[in-house]
Amino acid sequence: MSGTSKDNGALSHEERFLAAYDEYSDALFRHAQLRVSDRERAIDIVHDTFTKVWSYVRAGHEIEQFRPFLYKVLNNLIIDSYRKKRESSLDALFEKEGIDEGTFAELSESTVESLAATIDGKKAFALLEKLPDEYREVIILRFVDGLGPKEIALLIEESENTVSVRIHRGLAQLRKRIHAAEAASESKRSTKT
Amino acid sequence: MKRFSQQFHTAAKRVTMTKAESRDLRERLTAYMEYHPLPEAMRTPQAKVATGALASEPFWVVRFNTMRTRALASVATLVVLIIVPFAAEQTVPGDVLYPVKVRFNEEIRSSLALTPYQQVEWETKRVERRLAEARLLATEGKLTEAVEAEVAAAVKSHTDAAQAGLAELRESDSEEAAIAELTFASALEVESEVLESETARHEAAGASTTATLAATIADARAAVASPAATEVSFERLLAQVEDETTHAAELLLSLREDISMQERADIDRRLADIDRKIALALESREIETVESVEVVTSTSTDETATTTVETIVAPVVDEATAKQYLREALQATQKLIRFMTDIDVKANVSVEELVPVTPTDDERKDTLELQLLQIERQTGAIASQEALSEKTVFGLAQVDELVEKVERALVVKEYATAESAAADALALLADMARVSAEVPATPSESATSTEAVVEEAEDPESPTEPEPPATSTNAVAEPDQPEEPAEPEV
Repeated sequence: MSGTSKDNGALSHEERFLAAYDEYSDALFRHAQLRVSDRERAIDIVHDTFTKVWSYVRAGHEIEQFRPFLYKVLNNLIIDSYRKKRESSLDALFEKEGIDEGTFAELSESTVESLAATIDGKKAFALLEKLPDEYREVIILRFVDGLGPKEIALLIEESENTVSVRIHRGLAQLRKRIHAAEAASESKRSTKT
Repeated sequence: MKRFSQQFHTAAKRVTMTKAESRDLRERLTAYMEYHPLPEAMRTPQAKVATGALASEPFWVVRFNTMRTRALASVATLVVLIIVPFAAEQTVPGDVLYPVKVRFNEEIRSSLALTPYQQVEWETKRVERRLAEARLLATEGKLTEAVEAEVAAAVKSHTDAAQAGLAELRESDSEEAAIAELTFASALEVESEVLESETARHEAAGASTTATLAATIADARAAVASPAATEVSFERLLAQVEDETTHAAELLLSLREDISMQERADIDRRLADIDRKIALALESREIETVESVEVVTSTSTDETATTTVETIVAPVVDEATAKQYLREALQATQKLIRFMTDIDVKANVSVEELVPVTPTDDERKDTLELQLLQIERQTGAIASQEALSEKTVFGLAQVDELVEKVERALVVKEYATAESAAADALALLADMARVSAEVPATPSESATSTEAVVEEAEDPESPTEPEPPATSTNAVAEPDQPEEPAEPEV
């Protein structure tokens, strides 16, 4: 990993671009893979992300910071690929309508953290796929890519509030599902014996 | 919370691209970048270095090779192998590229001459080339003695090489050797003709001469003149002649548009001569075969049969003569071809010098009759002078004898005899005319050249001869007789 994009301004465009690739390609892939749940497509999306960014560079635009820019492009591409897959899912429609600005409790970062503390990380990760993309996106950005709520808000073009609410609800859902799964396995065991 | 995000994170960390996937993706991306390079304006010098470094190795190497190195290399090869030799072909001694012509072009061409026959042919060609160069220099007035010596040495080495090739050929294929030798000899003859006229012209102009070269060629001719040509068979010779005449006819056909009427007529005439010679050769051979058949029959039949055979045998020309005809035809054809193909030769020598006309029988008759008229007129002129010396009278008698002989020979169509007799008579008359003009009073003090002719006239044998009906053997022998006893009187 060769420094950040800021301190290699003296380098050529190509060098900066490839340095960005070396630094972020893995993280981008991980993100894409968790979002689309398809290895091949994830790789293609990462590839498309970089070619798009390169075209942007060629067009004469200066990129100050590669990371947010790359995530932005990647995110758009992932959404594009969803649209292709299922133009309008019931799930998404329902979630969109059901979204509100959130309550005060949900907005507090500490409550998010306290909620998170009650969840088994491994199990939560395994169940990530089951979450609606709305929540999955923010949870991945928050816990896998390690972005702050502010950055996420910029990236997905929502308010910081919304981001925090989504994270909170996502976690809540995860916990619910974990419990449901545990309960299911409990009942299975009890019926067996 | 720490626990959750850590657990979550470590679980997520397991989701990665394999090394192969990562490498593939990177290669796809660099390839994409190479096919979609930055616009010129954005490229800094550093950027160029970077492109080199980031490009995958095969791309880098291939691109560089095709664009620069290969282009340069092929241009260099083109120049060295094609343009330089091509330019060198036009050079003469003293030019920068001349060594390329002699040591590269011609040596390569030499190595292509595989058989000794081809070798001889090529060496002949090289002699011709050297001489052509020398002539070119001479016409430009640049032929110094040093250069001439150099060219002479080159000619010498080429003729030597040709001789060596001939010697080699003689061991493997004597017939081929004979043909090659004939060809070589006629080429040399052409060259010496050209050089002679050249030398004469330059001497007249007071410029540098090609005398040394002429001497070299003369030496070479003398060396070739050694008669080995008799070994070739009639058929082989005939085939070669056919070959060459076909070539000559084709050449004439292709040149028809480019040469003057006069030249065309001249060449046509020579070709006709050659045809006649070939016909003559064939004829004499046919008669010979007939003869051999009849000889076989004659042994079994009576005396009269044998005599008839002898009458047939009399006009027969043997195979050697037939071959001689063919050989002449071959050389004439070769010279003709050279004349038609080489502008240089054409400019310097006339056809007549190269291949003199062989007159037909009718033409010979015509010229002889003309000569007879001339003789008559001259004798009349001399006889009309008042004081005729004893010698003049005797000379006139001798001339009469000769005229008689010419007429007799004409009747039996012995043109060779008639021609020599007529020539003798004319010479005699010319001398007499000179004697009477120079020293009319004292004819006994005549010049030595006159004496010889006059002596001939005083020969006791020929005037008194009863002149039997001219048989072929007699007629041929006669012109030689007067010369034999030429010594006695001074």
